[in-house]
Order: sequence, then C-alpha cells, then structure tokens
Amino acid sequence: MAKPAVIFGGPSDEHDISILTGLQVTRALGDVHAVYWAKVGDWYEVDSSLEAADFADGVPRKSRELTFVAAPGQGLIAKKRPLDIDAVLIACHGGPGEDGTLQGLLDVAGIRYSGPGQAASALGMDKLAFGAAMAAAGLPTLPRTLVTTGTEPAPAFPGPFIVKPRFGGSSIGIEIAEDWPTVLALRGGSSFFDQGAVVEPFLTESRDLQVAVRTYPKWELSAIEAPIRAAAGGIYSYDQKYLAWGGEVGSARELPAALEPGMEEEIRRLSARVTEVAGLRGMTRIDFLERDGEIVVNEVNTIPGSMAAYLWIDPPLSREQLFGDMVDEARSGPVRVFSVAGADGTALRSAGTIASKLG
Amino acid sequence: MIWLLAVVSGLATVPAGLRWLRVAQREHYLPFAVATFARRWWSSGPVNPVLLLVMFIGLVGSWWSPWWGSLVAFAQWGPVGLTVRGRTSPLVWTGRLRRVAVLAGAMVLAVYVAGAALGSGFVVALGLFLLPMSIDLALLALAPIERRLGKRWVDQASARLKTSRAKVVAITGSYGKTTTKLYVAHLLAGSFRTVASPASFNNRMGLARAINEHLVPGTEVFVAEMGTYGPGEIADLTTWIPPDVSALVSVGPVHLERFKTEERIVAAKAEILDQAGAAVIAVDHPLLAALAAERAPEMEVITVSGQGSPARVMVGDGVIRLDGVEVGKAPQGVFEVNLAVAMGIGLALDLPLSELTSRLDGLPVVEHRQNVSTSERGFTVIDDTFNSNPAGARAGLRLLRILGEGSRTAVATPGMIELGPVQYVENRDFAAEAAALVDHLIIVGETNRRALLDGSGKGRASVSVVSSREEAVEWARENLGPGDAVLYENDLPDHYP
Repeated sequence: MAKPAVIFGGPSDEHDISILTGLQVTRALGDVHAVYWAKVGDWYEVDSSLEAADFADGVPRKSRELTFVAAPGQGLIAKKRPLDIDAVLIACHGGPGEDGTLQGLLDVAGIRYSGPGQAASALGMDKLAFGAAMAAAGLPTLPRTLVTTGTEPAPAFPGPFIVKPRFGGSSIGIEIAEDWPTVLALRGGSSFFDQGAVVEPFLTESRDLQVAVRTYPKWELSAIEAPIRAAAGGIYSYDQKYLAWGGEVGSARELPAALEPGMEEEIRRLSARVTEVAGLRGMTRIDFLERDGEIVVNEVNTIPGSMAAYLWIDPPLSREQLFGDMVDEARSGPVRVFSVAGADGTALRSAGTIASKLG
Repeated sequence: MIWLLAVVSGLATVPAGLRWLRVAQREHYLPFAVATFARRWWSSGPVNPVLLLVMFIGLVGSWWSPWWGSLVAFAQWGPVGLTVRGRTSPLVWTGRLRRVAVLAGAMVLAVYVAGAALGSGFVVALGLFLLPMSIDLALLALAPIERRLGKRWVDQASARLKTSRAKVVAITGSYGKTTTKLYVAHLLAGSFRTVASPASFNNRMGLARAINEHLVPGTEVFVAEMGTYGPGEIADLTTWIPPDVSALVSVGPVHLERFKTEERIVAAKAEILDQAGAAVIAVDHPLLAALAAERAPEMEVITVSGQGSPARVMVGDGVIRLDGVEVGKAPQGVFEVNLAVAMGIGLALDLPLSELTSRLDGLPVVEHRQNVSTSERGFTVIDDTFNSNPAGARAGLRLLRILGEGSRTAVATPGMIELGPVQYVENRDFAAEAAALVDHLIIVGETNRRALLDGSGKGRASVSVVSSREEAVEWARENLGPGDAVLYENDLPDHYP
C-alpha cells in the first residue's frame, strides 16, 4: 500500500540537524518510509526506529540501498521496484534538499511533496534574490548588497554590518563587521562566502521576531517568538540554535513574544504578503527584525528546524497533526505541472532539415 | 553416551566460539591471529594454564572414554579474562563476521557429528580443542571470497574518487599517521575543501567506505591514511587511490611480527611512492633517508625531519625551518615530525608558505597522545594511551621527567604490542629506562608482564603489578599527591591478556 516517505539528511552543512528533524517527523507520523539521503548523496531506506546516534559514524547498519530515477513513475527504487510512495515530506535543511534541487527532481519523477516548489525554494535560499523580491513588492526590508570579489566599494548604508553567506539557511558563517574593510577581509577568509556574501546594516538595538505560517488546511499563523540572543549585540547562532540547547525546542526564547499593540496585526499582514510574493507552501518560518516598533522582513526558512512545530501553541497543535497536515497537503496535488501546450509538432513539421538551419 | 559428548561440546562451542570470533574481528580477520591469541591467553594468569592442562588431560583421556572429553568442554569456561561481550571492543555482528561464524561453526559441527558417528570421543574432543584453529581456517578460506565481495565497494569508491577529481594525499608510516593526517587536514582546510579518512579506515575496505560515505561532492583534497599488514597491500591501494602526494612518516618495529625485518617494512611502505607525483619523506630514520636519496632522481622528494636530521623542512626546538631558514614557530606540545611532514605535504601541493604558517595556531590535539591534565588530587596526568610505539613511549617518558621535575613520578603501562620478535626486548628496554628515571612503575596486565618485570629489575623505581588499567588509576589516586606526575603509556584493548 502506498505510504508517505520522509526524506532527511542530504549533502548539506545542516545534514546532521536534518537527521534530527527527519527522525522526529518519522516518529510522529508512524507508518512511513524513512529515506536517508547520505552526505555524499546516496539514498537509503532506514529503519524508522533508529536513533540519531546510529547516524553518527555514517550510514547506519542494515540500511537498504535505493537509487533515485528521475523519470515519471520511477523515483526511489529499491531492488528495481519503486517504493510505493503517495507523497514525500521533505525534512532536509540547507543544501539541495531545501534549495529547490530535490524539489525539481521530485517534480520530474512525478512525486508529490511537502513545502514550496522548486522556484520558491530557490528564492528562499538566495538571500539577495529574496530581499530584492520583497523590496520589489513594496514590503519593508533592509537594504542588501552583494560582495563576491572582495573589492566592492562601501554601500550607501553605514556600518556596523552583518555579513551572511548568500546561499544557506542556518546561521552558519554569519559574521558581524564594524566597518567595510573588515567585511572585505571576511569575504576572503571564510569558505562560507565562496558563493558570495550579502551585507546589510546590523541593527544593534533590534530584536528578532519569528513566526511560522502554514498553508494547509488553511492559511494560518503560529504564535510569535522572540529568540534570545547569546550576548548583547550578538546574533542568534547555529550553536545556540541547535547544539548547546538540544534542538530548537530547548533554545532560549520568549514565546509568545511580548508585543506592543498593533504589532501582531502588522506581522500577520506582512506574513500573508510574504507567502504570496515568495510563493510559500507548507510550513515555513518567516523571520522579522523589530526596532522601536518598526518591523522589517528579514528572511524565510522554507524547511525550518524541527519544522518549527514548537511555535504552534495557540491553539496547540500536536506534531502528529502538523506533520500529518503537511503530508495531506503534499498528497492534495503537485506544486508544479509541466506544460507541453504548443509542443504539438507543428514547428517540427515545417522546420525542414537541420542542415538548412546550420547554413 | 558419545552423542551426549557431541551435544555438550556443541553447547560449549557457542560461548567459546564467540570469544574467538571477537578476537578475529579485532585482529582485522587476519588468518592465524586467533591461534596466536589462543596461545597467549591459555598461558596467561594463574587459572588459564591450569584450564589448559585440564583440556590436555581430557583430550588424552578421551582416547579411552568419552567421559574424559567433557573436561575439554568444561575448560571452555576459560580463558579467564577474555569475555564474550568485551568492554573496549564488543562483538559487532557484521555480514563478514556472520560468514566466518557460519563456516567455522559448520566445520566444528561436522567434526562433532563425524566423531560421534565413528564412536570416537577423541575426535569430538579434538574438534573442540582446535576451535581457534578452525576459526583461522575459516578466515583463510573466506579471504578470497571477502575480497571479491568487497570489490563492488572498491569499484564504486574508485569511480567516485575519479569523478570528484579530488587530489589525493596518501600517508603511511609505522606510527604517527593519524596525527599527521589531522595536521595536514587542518593546514589545508583554509585553501581546499578537504576530507580526511577516519582513523580506523586505513585498509582496502575501510578506505572504500571512507570514500563512499565521506567524500562529499566538491571535495578538493582527500587525505588517505594507508596501513599495511603485508607486502603488496599499499601497492594495491594506490592502483585505485592514486596519490598525488605520498608521505612516509616513520618506520619502527611495529607489526614486526608480520614483517620480520625493518627493511621489509620500509619496502612495503615505500609502495606508496610508486604511483605518486611527489613524495614527502621523514628522514629521521636511516632507512628512510636512504629511500629519499634513492627516489630523488626520479620524482619530486621533499625531505622533512623532526629530530634534527638535515632536511628541507625541519621542525625542532620550537622553530620551523625551510631550507635552513626559519619560517615560523612550532606551537607548544606539537609533534614535530608530524608537523614537518604536514608542512612538506602543503608545499608539495604548491600552497604558499604563508598560507601554511598562518594556520599553525589551532592545530588539532590528538586524543590520548600525550594529553596533559591535572587530576582531582592535584597530580599531573599524561594520557599517552593511543597505540604506543617505542619512540612515542620514550617521548612520553621525557615529558614526564619535565612535568614531574622535583616531585614523585610514576609510569603505568601494559607495554607495547605487535612488535614481533623484538617485543620482549623493546618492552624490557623501555621498562629499564623508565625504572631508572621514575619513582614508580606500575605494570598493567599480563601481555608484557615478564618483559617489563625483567627490565625494571635494576632500576630505582618501586614496581607494582596490577591486572587492569582501572587498578592502575586507583593506585595513582591512592599514592600520588599534588605536584606528582603519572604517565599512562598505552592501553590494550580487552582481547589482550
């Protein structure tokens, strides 16, 4: 019988964290195919009762090898037979599992999946493009500039600056620089900026506000949280988010965040617009920055850690409910349908020989 | 009656077989390892030789009556100390272990049935008595099959390595490979996306797995540690992991029990150079100096040294020199020859010197390699328990002398292993040196007890004998105080007596 599959891991900096999310989802959903995407890119079906530590030294024992065939009716193949999958819940953070690559692959294989499609996934992962899309739609956001060569002139906005890898979902590689020469030096010294860095003003007296939205069974907003930064002026780090606190659930935060009148409505309004402009689907976390009552859109995380399930406290929604709804949304239809309208052979019949085109 | 003996023997085979299978697994499934360890275990301690005698009596007696044969089954309660489960090295049911277990099990079972059918209690008893040899036989018979089974993974790894176009740095040596690998990975990490093979993955299957599971897309340099248990092994590895740069870190009497002479060790390790574009050779050992001179006309050879031998890269007295010119400071507590090799590898990969020296801060610390800490009771602890070798053990002693200057010093050690014909001499000499320099020598376990006791006889140190590392730690807690220092030199996995 067809069952959902949960895909986690993947060749990403966040491979390990993705295993944690994947196992949580697998456990909550119960009867699923647990599909582990290894660091080097291999596919395996694993026992869904495994613990995180079983993955610490690589592929767990007794994993069943799968191959991915990107053709209709194929998909994940175990010993020549496709796994009988009715939908995929993607639990990959960062890298090709979140940036649209896997989504595109599943589109080609004709497999339905959770979360945004290939284009929205790619947009969410590209901080430069996402910021530009927000600005173009008239949403409040910070100015962002791109640094690739490390020789760029200083931007119009003054320091201090926050420097982030252009692509990448977590806080890995984020740095704060007092002045422009420091930014350029950072660009050269960190492998996280190989594909370019985006630079924006660092708002010292600001706070983060994060909210999850989901698009099924209807568009909904979770409670709003304010993560607590490690040190005054510091940023919310990867270690803080995941390592020291035993997962996002245990991180230091204010939930729900104390908000001044009108702020929640503003966040709700902006979140709805972000969903629309970016083409979000499934369960997404949107991060805002707030200073002196002014709220700007910062970034989206289309596959947030633990799926941001801990944010759904009012009314409380169980993990089973949240992840089950994601599967149902995935089952309900493909994100993208390829169109072949117009490819009816007319152009081919009237084309003549290829040789004549080369002349 | 005879069938009863067969059944009892069969039952006794299960726990005994699991013990020896664990030894086989720990000894990398090398044929004859089990018999070697069986000899060691049955002759260690007060109880095991008695059990061995009981087995003999039972075996001889079984000529006359199957009743005697049950003594052999009874003795399978031993060897005392070698447990089925294992503390440091539990049995892991891999596919390979299963195949060995099934084949060896079938072999002894056939002997029991045959013996019972023939009415010979002796055949049944002998079957059980020779159980370790049956496992060795199974290992020998399965070796070519395992090789073929492994080929699939090797082919996959080979294809992936080729597709990745990563440069390969191959490192071998009798000791210091792991430290060197960690240093290299750190020095290169600023310039290349570097992946190093995990510590224990240094043979054919291990390296295949390292590539298949760890060589992530985009890797630019793969650092492979290559170990060898016999001639031809490294040559075979380099056919499918062709090194761009090969490094020879050291030569010493490690695995001498398989190689017999140091010249043969060097020959086996030198296979790593055959396919390589450039070589980095630590010339502190005369045989390696000779090898470097021999290869210099045909390939780029960068000589390095950590003990003052003339070489292009020299690390010593806290200073790094390139072609005689000081280029940087060696961080404190660094392993000099390993750093020298790592620097040499960086140069062979055409990295600018400044790039290498800029990464000297933050060189990784290798666990259990001369790690210094202070105990709750205030005495200094030097943890040097990772895979000891004669040179490393002496370096440990030197460090102990420095750190324990003016107060009481102690060495706790089970001695060193895998030294073949020189194992007795090396351990005896180390004990003699230690006993002359320190106040207390604590001999752990039975594996090298005699050699260590013989060596320590003339020294000034008081000598104690304990049976486990835990007891040695207990001894230190009770007898040492603030300012004192203890060196834990080596730790043997628990399949050693």
